[in-house]
Amino acid sequence: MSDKPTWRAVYDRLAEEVGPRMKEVTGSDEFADAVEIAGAVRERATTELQRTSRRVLHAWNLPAGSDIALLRQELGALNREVRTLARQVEQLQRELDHERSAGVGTTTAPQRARRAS
Amino acid sequence: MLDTTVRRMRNTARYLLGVGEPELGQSPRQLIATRDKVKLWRYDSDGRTQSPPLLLVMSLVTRPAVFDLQPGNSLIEQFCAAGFDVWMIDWDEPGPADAENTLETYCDDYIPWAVETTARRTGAGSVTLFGYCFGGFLAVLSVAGNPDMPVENLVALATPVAPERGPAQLRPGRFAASLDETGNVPADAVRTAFVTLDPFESWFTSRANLWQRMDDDDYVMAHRVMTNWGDDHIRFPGATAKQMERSFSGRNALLDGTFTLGGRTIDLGAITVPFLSVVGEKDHITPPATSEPLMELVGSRDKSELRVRAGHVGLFVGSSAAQHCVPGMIDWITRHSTTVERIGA
Repeated sequence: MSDKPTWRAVYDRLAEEVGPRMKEVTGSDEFADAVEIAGAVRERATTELQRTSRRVLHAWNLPAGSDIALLRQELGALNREVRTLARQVEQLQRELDHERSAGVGTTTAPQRARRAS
Repeated sequence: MLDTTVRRMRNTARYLLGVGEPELGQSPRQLIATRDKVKLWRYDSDGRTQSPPLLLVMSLVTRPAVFDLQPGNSLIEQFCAAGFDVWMIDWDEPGPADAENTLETYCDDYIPWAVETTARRTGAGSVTLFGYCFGGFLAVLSVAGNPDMPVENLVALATPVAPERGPAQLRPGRFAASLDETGNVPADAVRTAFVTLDPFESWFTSRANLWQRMDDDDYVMAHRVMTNWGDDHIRFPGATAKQMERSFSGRNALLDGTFTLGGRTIDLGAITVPFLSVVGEKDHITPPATSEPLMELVGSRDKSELRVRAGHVGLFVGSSAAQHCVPGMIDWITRHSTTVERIGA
């Protein structure tokens, strides 16, 4: 005799019936398209809502959520530029170390120019 | 009977009120280096006897706490106990500054940086690179695209190299259209994709199981641990999502040899280091069909595949993993490592 409670036996029968069907539906391209459309609708609604609230808040000279988002994006862009610059400095440092280890990097550019002439 | 009822009531109340939330990732560790948002951790251990160090690479869609869920249920704990010097890359959650991160950012910059730092700081000169899921994908691409990187062994755990053969919800083209205001794929979109892989199981059966075993303290704790980790998805970098769509949508670029990284065509045949692929036969996130081609594509002479009847997380989490898959991985890595005098801090 099984230890399974009655509710569980009923549930398992339901799961056997419904589970694979749900899986099939959510795994279909149609479902993916529906999720995409729902996402687009939600985004559109959010944009409209934000536009309205922005107008109201700006009328009172108050910052809106979209202003904060814009600031975050600009900070992100600035952060990326700093990263790029840091990588360039890193690269220059590596080249300098390489030159030094090859014995040519201890001189300055004018010194090298003089030596060449 | 009374005991069981009292335990049920107590556990139900604690669960509903969120009392005694489990803390994940408790193994002691040190932050060794950072690069942008990326952190490189080293786990404390008194018994490091295997060289080279083991560097773990996590996926980009969830947090790396899964490697170290709870004391007694932790892959990192088991690796440390086996004598490995364990390091881990923690990507952290992408923000606006990371939205432009591409596969090149991860494979040609962050991973080589972490590999070189680990190899240099330990004095070992090389590492065993261990990637899981999308982290395995990044690790494989990084090794193939950077043959000079000091990687001695490569382990790819549940690694999809043919993502178009995977579930429709996780195919490369699915995420690129839904970027949020930070320029990344929102965590909600990632979570929805995972939940809809098996919605009945995610929404109902897991709760039915919990209700049935609410009097079992260990089961309730294990459920809370997995739920806390599994629900904690993070944003996916927007530029990487677009690149995945361009490179893989409708085709498996790594299989047909058309995938490029930083302008170089990537051939996994360029991987020549000893290689282990771990495949979960019941994995519904990275089904075997998505990871099996690795064995043919990778050029290593010394390559093995470890197949286990386990799911995506069950490969290394839980008591069954601790008896089968994890010892198998430890055995392979140990055979490809050198036993040395105790390695210090």
